[in-house]
Amino acid sequence: MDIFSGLLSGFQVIFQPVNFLYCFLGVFVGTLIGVLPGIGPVGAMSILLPTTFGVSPIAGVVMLAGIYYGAMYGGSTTSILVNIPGEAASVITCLDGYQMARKGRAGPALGMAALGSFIGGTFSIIALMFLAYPLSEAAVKFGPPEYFSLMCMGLVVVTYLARGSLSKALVMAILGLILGVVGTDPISGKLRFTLGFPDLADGIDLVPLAMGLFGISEVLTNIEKPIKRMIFQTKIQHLLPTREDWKNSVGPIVRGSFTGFFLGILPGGGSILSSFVSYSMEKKISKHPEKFGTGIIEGIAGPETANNAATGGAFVPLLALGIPPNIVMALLFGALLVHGVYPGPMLIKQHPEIFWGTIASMYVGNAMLLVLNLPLIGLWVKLLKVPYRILFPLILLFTLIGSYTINNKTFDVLVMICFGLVGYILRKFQYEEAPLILAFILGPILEQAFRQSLIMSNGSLAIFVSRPIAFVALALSAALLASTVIGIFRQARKRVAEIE
Amino acid sequence: MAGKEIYGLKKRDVIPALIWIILGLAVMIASYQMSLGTLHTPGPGLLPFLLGSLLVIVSLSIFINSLTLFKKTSPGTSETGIWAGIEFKNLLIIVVALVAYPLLLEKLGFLITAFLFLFVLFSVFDSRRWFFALGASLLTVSITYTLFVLVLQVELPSGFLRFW
Repeated sequence: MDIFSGLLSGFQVIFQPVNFLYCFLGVFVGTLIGVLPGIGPVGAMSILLPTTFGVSPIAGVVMLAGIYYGAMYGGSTTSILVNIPGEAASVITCLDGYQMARKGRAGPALGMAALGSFIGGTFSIIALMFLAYPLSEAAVKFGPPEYFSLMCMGLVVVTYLARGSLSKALVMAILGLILGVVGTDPISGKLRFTLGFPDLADGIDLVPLAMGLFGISEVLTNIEKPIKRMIFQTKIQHLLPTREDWKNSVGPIVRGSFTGFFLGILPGGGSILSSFVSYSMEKKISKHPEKFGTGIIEGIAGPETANNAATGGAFVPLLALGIPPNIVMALLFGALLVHGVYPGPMLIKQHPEIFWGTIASMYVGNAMLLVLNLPLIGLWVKLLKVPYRILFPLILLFTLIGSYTINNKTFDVLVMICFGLVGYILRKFQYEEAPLILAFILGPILEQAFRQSLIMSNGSLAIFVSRPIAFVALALSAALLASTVIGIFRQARKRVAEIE
Repeated sequence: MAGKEIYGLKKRDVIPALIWIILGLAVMIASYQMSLGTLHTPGPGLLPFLLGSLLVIVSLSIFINSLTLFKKTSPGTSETGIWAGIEFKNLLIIVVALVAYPLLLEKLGFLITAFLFLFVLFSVFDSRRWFFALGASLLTVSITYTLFVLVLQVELPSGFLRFW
């Protein structure tokens, strides 16, 4: 199947009423949670995971993906109007967006955010299509050793790039791996770390874990202090940017599309990083860097394009190689596994409808989002006025219902609440959850790939060195870990010297 | 003022590090009892044993590094507390409501449990009159019931209200 007939079949899939509806639901919920501060795309995806189990895998993936890129659109609205980012990838949009709103130019700011998002999103889908297809053709030759080492590299890089302390990120990754061990050992059939709970024999479910860590603990973090919000009182008019605005934005949009897409591919990259990189890059090459932060359109066009371009980039390693580069993709990965679909280079052969359907859904979803976010912007602004004290009981109720419906067991609800509390305390001590979830999802697959590799080589570890791709990936991850250890060692020596 | 940092660590990181060390040791002991096997024929305990020891090593480094901060900083400088300004009462109410929900769910059924859950949270956190909380909870429960049970055909416990 070549790219164009593939894409055509993808559009046939997405225009089936059920899939179309789920795509719309996804981007709608995405915009909604993007607009509402206090819950981000990861939280919303975790909470809605159980609803995807009853439908086909394609409808589920299309919806979850829609939440992700939909949130990138919605997030800018609150940044511009309220100076509170709806989700983390829109933090940087506050700088110039809110200033533009104060100058009475909220309309063009919102318009450029939506249009830039659309351009970046569409560019990244085209690039994804042309990159993922040949890449998966090449990756078909990959065996367990390659997978093992590439996943190791992904895990190491995500841990390395985590904000704050590296050792804390390592602790989280190890904890994730340990949590992945819980349950019945696939080889010996022995129970591991079930603490006497028969419900844990099948291991910990991804859904209560993710819901607790990202749903419940997020609500607890938001509610601990009184929230005050001021909505910028302004009439939103002239949504379409002027010719002058376009002239200033073309450069940032083009550069944002490329940076966003390529940063999205990298493990640990993603939308948040690319919006920051785009902003600082624009500021650096600008003729008038001092104007950034005073409300200029370049400060919105670049980052808003980049964070959407990153969404498409992130799908490349997931769809072509089966390696989730960030936490959002890890959740999609988990959702596919629940359906018995194993993401990887064989996905395109075994489930072409999922591969092409997802790609086609992103074209359709981005077009829906443009409609949702330009003419209907007033509706979202009204929603901003819903206070959090009304919102959070509803979010909590959804998590309570959702966690129960996985297996119809109250045990899962309790597991979720436990992880919610643990997650809250971890957040307080500035531990990041992303390495934990990624390690939890990848752990069992890593173990399996490791054991299969050893079977292939009759128990010789040399197989990881003799195969070039495996060797390079493992060497890179080892180098990354070593460089940090050496860095810490050097600093420690300096400190010892100071004390002496 | 913000306290001193070292590799992104602060003084308060000592306590979680201690917990990780204990957890790591417990994992190691439990895995050892499960039989480790050898590298060529790994037993069920080998992988968790390695993970447990890694956890101990990494958290030991956190523990030692954050402990050195106690020596270096003069007693006058304190860290801005992470627990400052938190309304513990609010947190406690939510946690109690959350834990009560699964415990009551099977006995009282979804309709009553969800209603109580929402009513408590709405009336505690919203300063308006109690009948607002009553109306809002009734409305939300009926909408979610219609959506999940009637439309999506999700099974939720009915408790002693057998008629539905």
